[in-house]
Amino acid sequence: MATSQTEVKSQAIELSTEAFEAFCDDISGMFGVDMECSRQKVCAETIEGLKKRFRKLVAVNSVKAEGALGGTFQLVFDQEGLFTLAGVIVMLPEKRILENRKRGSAKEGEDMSDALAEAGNMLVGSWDRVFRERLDGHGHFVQTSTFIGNPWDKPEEKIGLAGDEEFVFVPYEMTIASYPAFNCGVIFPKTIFDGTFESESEQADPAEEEAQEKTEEKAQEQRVTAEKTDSEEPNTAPKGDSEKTKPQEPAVEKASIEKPAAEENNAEAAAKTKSKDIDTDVSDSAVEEKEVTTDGSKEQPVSETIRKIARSPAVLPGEPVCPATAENPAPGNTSVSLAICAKDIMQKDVVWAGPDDSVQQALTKMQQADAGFMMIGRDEVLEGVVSKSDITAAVSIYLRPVFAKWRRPLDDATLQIKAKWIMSRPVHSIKPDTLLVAIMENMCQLGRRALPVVDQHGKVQGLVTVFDIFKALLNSDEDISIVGKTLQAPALV
Amino acid sequence: MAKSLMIVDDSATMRKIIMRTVRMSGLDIDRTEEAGNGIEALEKLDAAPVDIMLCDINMPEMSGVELVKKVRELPSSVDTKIIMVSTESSQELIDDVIADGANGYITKPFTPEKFQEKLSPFMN
Repeated sequence: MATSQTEVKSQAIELSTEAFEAFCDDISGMFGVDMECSRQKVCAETIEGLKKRFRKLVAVNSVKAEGALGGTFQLVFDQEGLFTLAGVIVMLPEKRILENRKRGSAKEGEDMSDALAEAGNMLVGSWDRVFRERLDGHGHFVQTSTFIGNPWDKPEEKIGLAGDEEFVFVPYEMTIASYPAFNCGVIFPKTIFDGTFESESEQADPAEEEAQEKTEEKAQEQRVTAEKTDSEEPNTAPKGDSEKTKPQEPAVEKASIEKPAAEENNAEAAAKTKSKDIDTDVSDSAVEEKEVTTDGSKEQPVSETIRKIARSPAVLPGEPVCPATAENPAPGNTSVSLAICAKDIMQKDVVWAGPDDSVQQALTKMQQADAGFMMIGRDEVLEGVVSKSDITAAVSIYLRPVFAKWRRPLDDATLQIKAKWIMSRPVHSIKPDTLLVAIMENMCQLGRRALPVVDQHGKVQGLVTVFDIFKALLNSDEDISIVGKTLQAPALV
Repeated sequence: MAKSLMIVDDSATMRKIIMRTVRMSGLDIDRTEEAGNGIEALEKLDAAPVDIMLCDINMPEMSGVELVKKVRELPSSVDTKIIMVSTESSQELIDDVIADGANGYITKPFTPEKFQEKLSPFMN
C-alpha cells in the first residue's frame, strides 16, 4: 500500500518526540543525569522565525535521511542547550555550565565542538533506532555535520537550509538535571516528505530482488547447460545411474537441475559448504551442518572414490599392478593412496591448550589458527582433544551475534568453562606409519573425525582429520573435480 | 589479574567518556592507552601490546574495521581482545567486524554495567 506524503509527515512528527525521548533516556543512562523533553506546538517556520527563536548562537546537527524520509533535516539546540549538553558530557562544574549558558561565546562553543559532535552522534543514533523500529520504509540516518555559531545570515551555506523556504518545525523544551530548561527542535524541509514509498509487504528489498534475479538467471543457464550436455552425450547411462557413475561431473549442477530457483539456491549453498569441507580443513561444526543439509547425491564423488578404494586390491610400491579389465577397471591411481601413511598427510602444526584453559581461550586459539581440533595437555603430554563442535555444544547459543540482543551475563559465563570439562577422553591415537586404510577403519570404528599422531615416545607429532584424508584421496584421483569456492566460516561468538 | 586497555576513537571526548565508564565498571585495569586514529593505535600496539582494545568504527583515515584486520596481522597482538564501540548497531555490520577478527561489540549509549558484562569474560 502506498503511503502518502501527509502520513509520512504526521508519522515523522510523532516519532520525533519518541526519538528525542530516547535520546534523553540514552544520556540519562550514560551520564547518570535526569533528562526530559516535552514537545511544543508544531508550526510552519522560516529562517527569520528560527532566527528569532534561537538567536545568534546555536548548535545544528545536519542529518541525511534515506528511505521514507529523503533528504537532509536539522536538529537544533539553542545556546543554553548546547552548553548544558556539552558541559554535562565533559563533566564541567555546574557553575561553569551556568556561566556559559548566559555568556558563552561562539569561541567557547567551538571549544565544545568535540563534545557536541559526540552528542550529535548519539542523538542521531537514538533517532535512527526509533525510526528504524517504527517507520515503514525507513532507510538510515547519518549525521553529516555539526555546526556551532550563527547560521542565520547564510543558512544555505552553513547548515543547508534555503533562506526563502518554509519548513516544518517541531520545537521541544528540554531539561537536564537541575539546570533551567532550554529549547531545541527538528527542522524538516517540506521536500523531505516527498519520497513516498510502498509498504514492506508490497516492496521487495532491492538486494533480495537482485539476488533472486541472479539466482533465476543462473538456474536458467544451468538448465541450458544441462540440456546441452544431455544432447551432446547421448551414450550416457540413464539419469539416475549417470549421476553415480560420473564423479567428474560437478555434482552441484546435476543436483540443481530441474529444481525451482529457491531450492537450487539452497542446494548451491549446501554444495558450497561441501566444497569448502573438501578443499580446506574446516571446523567440526561445519561438518555437522553439512551432514544436515547434504543429500546422498551430493556426497557422491568422494563416497564413490572410497568405494573404489574398498574394491581395489592393496598394492604396495614396487608391487605389480593388475591390468585393468572391463569387469575391474583401474580406479585412477588409488592404489597409491593405500601406501600413504599418517605422517604423509597429518597436520604438523597442531593447536594446544591447557586443561584449565577456558573455552574462550581455546576458541580464540582455534579461530586464530583456523583449526577444527585442539590438543589438551601439559608439556606435550596429551590428555584429551577438543573439537569446535564440543565448544559449540558447551557455550550458550545466545553468544552468537544473531542473538546478541538477548545475551545475558550467564551466557558469557559459559565461556569460562574449562577445557578439561569438555574434552574427549580417552584419546585414541595413531602412529606416524599407520596406513591410510587403517586410519579410515579406526575413524569409522571409533566414530572420530580426527586422530592425533603420536610417536613411540608418546609425543604428539601431528593430527589427521577426515579432511586430510579427503585431500589425500582427491590428490590421488584426478577424476574428481571440485566446484564452488570456499566460504568464510561464521564467527561463533 | 589486572589487564591493560587501549581506547581508539577520533573523539577525545568519547575516549574520556569511555575511560570514565570503564573505571566506573570496576574492572581491574592497570594500564590504559589512548589513540586518536588507527595509525597511532598500531604504533602503540607495536611498541607495547595491550590485553583489550576498545575501538570506534567510524574514524577518518582508517576505519575501525580496517584497524581490526591490521591488528590481527600484528604478531604481538594476536591475543588482544578487540571490542568495537559504536552507535552503528546494524546486525550486518556487527557480524562483519566479528568475522574480521573483533571479539565483541558495544553499542552507544553504554553504561558501566554494559562494559562489565562485555569485558568480564576477558578479564580472567
